[in-house]
Amino acid sequence: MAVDDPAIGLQSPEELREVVLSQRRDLDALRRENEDVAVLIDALDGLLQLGDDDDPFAGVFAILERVFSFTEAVVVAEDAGPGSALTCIVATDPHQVGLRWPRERLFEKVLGGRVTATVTDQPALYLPLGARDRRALMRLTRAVGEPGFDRRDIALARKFALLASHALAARAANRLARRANHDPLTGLPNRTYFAEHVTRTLDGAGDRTIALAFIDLDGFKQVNDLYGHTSGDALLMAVADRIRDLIRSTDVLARISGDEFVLLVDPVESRAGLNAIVERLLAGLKEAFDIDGHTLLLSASIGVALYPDHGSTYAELRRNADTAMYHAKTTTKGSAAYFDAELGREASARTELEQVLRRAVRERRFRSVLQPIVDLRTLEVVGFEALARRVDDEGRLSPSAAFIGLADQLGLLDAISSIVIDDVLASLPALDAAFGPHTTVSLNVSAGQATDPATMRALLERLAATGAPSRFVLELTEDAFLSAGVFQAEIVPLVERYGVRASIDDFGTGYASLSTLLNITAHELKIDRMFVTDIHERARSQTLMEALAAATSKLGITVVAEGVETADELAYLRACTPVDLAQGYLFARPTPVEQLVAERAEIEARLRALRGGVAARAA
Amino acid sequence: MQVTSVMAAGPDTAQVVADLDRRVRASGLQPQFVYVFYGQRHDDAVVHAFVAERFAGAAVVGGTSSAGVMTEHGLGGPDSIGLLLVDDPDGAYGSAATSLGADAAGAAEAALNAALEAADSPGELPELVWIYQSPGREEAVVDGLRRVVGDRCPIIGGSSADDDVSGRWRQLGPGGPLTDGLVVGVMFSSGGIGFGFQGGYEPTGTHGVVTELGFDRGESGIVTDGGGRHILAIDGEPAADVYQRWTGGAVPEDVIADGGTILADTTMTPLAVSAGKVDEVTHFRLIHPETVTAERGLTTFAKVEEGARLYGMRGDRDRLVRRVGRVASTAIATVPGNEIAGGLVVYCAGCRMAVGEQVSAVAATAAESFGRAPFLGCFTFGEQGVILDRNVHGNLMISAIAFGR
Repeated sequence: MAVDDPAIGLQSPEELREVVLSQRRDLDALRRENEDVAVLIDALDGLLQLGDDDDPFAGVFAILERVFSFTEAVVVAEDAGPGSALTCIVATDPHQVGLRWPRERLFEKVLGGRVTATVTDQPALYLPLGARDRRALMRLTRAVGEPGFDRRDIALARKFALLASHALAARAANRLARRANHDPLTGLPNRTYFAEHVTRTLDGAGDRTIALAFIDLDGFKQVNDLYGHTSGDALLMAVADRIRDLIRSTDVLARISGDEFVLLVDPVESRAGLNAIVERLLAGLKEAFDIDGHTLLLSASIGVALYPDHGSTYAELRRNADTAMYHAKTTTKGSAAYFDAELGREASARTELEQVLRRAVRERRFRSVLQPIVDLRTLEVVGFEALARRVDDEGRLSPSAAFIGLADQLGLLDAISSIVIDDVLASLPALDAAFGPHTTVSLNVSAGQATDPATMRALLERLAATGAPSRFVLELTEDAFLSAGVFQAEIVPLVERYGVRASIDDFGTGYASLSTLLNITAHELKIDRMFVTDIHERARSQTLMEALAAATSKLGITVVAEGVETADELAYLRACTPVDLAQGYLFARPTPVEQLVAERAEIEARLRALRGGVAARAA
Repeated sequence: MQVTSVMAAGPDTAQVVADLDRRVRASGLQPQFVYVFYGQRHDDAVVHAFVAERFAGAAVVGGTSSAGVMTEHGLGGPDSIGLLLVDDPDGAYGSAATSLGADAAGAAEAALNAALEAADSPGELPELVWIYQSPGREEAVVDGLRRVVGDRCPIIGGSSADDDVSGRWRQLGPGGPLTDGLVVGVMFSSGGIGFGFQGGYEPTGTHGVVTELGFDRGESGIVTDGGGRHILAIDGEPAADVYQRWTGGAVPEDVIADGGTILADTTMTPLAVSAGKVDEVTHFRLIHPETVTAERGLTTFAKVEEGARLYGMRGDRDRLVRRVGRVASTAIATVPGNEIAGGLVVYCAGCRMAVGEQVSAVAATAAESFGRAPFLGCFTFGEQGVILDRNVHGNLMISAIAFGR
């Protein structure tokens, strides 16, 4: 009987049966292929779900084995770019890992994209696979004598290679995106990501209150200086972990620069609740950190700005939180402050000063003033400390305390120092003509400058170029002397080599102790005015001075007393201490060189009077 | 991958080749693999000189085709020459040729390895092995090729043919023409290759067991092969008598009595052996009877084993015409994405005889199934392909391959 169905063009039951069977076979093949593809997708899932530290292939071998029935698998990758050596990076047999492979023609083809199987005694299937951002190939082998890989295996391997290359590219892109969005040290979101996150959050914030807290670590620089950057990094990681433990799961923490963290507190249920979080952070960060065997104590200053009260954009909130943090830090380190109108005004003033400073640097509106340094035995001028002054539009001089801190933050200190030193060097002929050529000139160097070899080398070159480097004294802060690493290893020997002397400025205000004097190289030590003021009446200052004198005399260090303002202080220093030199308003104020020269006679008269007074007092 | 077919016809080979050359230039292709088939009257040397010069460095496979070739434009006629150009710079292709000599299997094995070398892919499993050979020892050739690739990739091809079974068939390889040879091509394509291999016949319900074969014997008289192409007896009766009974007298009685060629008489009623079963349904490998022998036995174009069960088969013209379309469709269906650049058809010359006047419909059907993509078709005295995942040689079969884009 014939079956004549024009729709399918079949004319016999045999042909119909053949078609039905063919379709059934096709369906079976499709089902098998779908099953295999599902397994391959499992393998790809495995690739994508493994963590960054995991090997992206080891976990998928077991899955692939279900499809390809291999006995051994290896992944071989180019060490660097195309054409570089091949090394096994992962294998079912761990002994294979690390072995170098020759660059055979077959491997070149596979690296170039071909999927191929061999017809050799040991069946092998090769497929290209981008791995770890390099070209790689995977080789699956079966035991000698087992059936070889066939056309179907190749087709599946081609699919897997294609999907895997996309998957691995996506994985690499994710890693890149994560690198782009996260701080590699702490794993926290970085500045860019945080800004985007806050902007997105604010876009949908409506009327709810959100807080942005600016967290700045106090004393972190000292940790870096004392223990090195490795410990500093470990501390930053520990700080990040601790803050994470102290905040809620809905809050987002980011690290935006060295020791600066920002925290988005969202939602803020109440001011009391926000206070509780901030207090928790302050207290938590004051607890000791155990880093590399050292117990480290530090604190954080926190500034908080609220949305919508203190800003409606990320930039506004961050700036105002920064202002509040600055206020907290300058008021009491380890405290918190909330932004308010007054702080806003201060911030505006600060912004205004910033503009003024930048313009002053551009227009070189800085100059030096010189304060005489007097030999306490002879009461004669033996040197000068040069100090920076900003010249305003009316020609008035603004004291350094009014701008040095901000200039340091703005990175303007080097430029200002350079201008001032130009002025000092230009003043030398007039100074020498008036006070003789043997006076010393002390120059202030900030901690940041002192630990920068390039800056220091440039400065020393300039001083050496005067032909008399030994008359210069670099006044360095305690922090610089106490810092580990580059300062002691490079800067101190450099200063010595140029024949310039080094002085520890403001001794007693920082972390240095008498015992540390034994470990540092300095020619001079300047005692801060806080120990000089009323010394004749203050037993504690006297005790310190005695101890200091005993230590420095044995070390051959010249001691300079700063801030001598009264005859009583002078008398005590001369009579009861071995302090060598002094400076202060009692002798002369810091003065521009032309004025200093003009007042020379007046200054010397004053010193003569003091000598007389001292003599009379002694009598 | 780009594929194009070029065909020209005429009695003067040089003129036809010149015509082909113009068409090839017009195509702009720089093929890496070239199929070339032509009618028996053409001068092989001229054809070879042309392809060797025009396609220097390309793999070349081909030979004579019974009564010429066909393309998507139709039949070319007995004096036609057809080319199929495969331009695939991202793929790898190679070919080699050999005389079959005494050890056809060994020669085939060596030729395949040589073709892989030519493709710069020694030791690699090709996507497809293409063969064209002299009729007579196809099973040994397939066995030799299977030593290298097993059934892990398809071996597709045909047995070169002439117009009247007079033995004027030739094969054309990279080194020139052969008369008792094998040409092997290996293909590693960039676009994927699909294939189909089917017969156009169905069982009649008659069957019997081969009880006696005229074995191939060596010089010592010892049987050297367990199978042969001379069936002496089926179920103990002379094979020609049994066949005559099964077919209801397909062969003239005088031929049964005296012996002679029955190629044309048996195209609609061939024999078959089982190639295996799927879902309890037998798949058949067709055996085309060639002659009745003096022993009232049957010689065939394919080998059978003693003890094998033979089945009587039947076909009809329409089905043989339609079948080429289905084979082409099957080939396309196995191309990744089903987007093809072109195709190739191996159509049994016996089937061509069977369809008679409808042979132009064969070309039209193939063209339609390939979606008017370029294709080249040859007519052969034996076809090789895959049945139930095994590479085999058969008769009265249709092979097709489709090249993915």
